[in-house]
Amino acid sequence: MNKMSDIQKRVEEAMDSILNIGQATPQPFFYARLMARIQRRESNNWEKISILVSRPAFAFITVSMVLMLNIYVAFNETSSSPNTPEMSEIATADDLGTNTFYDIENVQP
Amino acid sequence: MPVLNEWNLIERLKKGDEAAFKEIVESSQGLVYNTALGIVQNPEDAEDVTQEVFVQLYESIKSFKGESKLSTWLYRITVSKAMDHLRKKKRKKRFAYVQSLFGANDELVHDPPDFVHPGVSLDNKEKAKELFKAIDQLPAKQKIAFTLNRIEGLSYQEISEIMKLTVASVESLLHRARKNLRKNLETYYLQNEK
Repeated sequence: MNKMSDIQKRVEEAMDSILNIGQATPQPFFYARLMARIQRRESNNWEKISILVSRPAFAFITVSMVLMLNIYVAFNETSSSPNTPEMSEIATADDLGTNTFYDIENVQP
Repeated sequence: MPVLNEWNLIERLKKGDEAAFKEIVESSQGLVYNTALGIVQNPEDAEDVTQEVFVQLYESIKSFKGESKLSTWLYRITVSKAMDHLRKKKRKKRFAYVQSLFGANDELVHDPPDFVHPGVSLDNKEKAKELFKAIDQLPAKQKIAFTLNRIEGLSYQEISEIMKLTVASVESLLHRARKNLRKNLETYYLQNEK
């Protein structure tokens, strides 16, 4: 019984040990260390980008994408050209012949 | 920090004013560091977390809409970064242990020495050491609520805003935290008697 009450007393003392705890503060010159970290991060970001761009895989993917885009455009051009009516056909159909000086000067009343 | 001054500083920081950032850091580094230290219980880790918090503030101040106080926002980032830090540390420790089982890592994983908070008075240091060990064993939410209440001295209302809980939930969390702490301490004293 005595042992238990002793333990209870120690528990309560431990619980109260942080009652009036003071605020901990970082080491001096915290702001200088923080700014150094921010600058390091910023330069690291550029480094990361340059490392990514200089990787052979990146170059391979970029070249492949450009080639695929070219092939796609070329294929679309060739497949769509037979359906496109020639300009002369449109002009004939809509009677849009080229005007000559004769037409302009001999306007019918 | 007065509300008007706080708004002024935030607006200046959003425009990229470095002097405003310095002012915010200098006025809030104590609250961030003290909270982080209470959770991670290691001065180097707490410094690391504090720096991470201010880096996030610097990078994402434009997304701060002002729905809560700046200090509430800072507390939220601090708690989340500190808990992430603890999770990463545990993962590293577990990985190092698995590696050591396979003989891949000869480095021994040392447990850090017992933590003593610098704000504890000299005559309470030993007792506080045992209490901090017990705090470290609490479930995450209880640990956060207890740290904010007893180490940062925040009210239930402030804690409920930080943790996005109701005041009743905070009361319940703190009640369970105290109960668990008493139980952990009792077990500790029974095992280490004499």
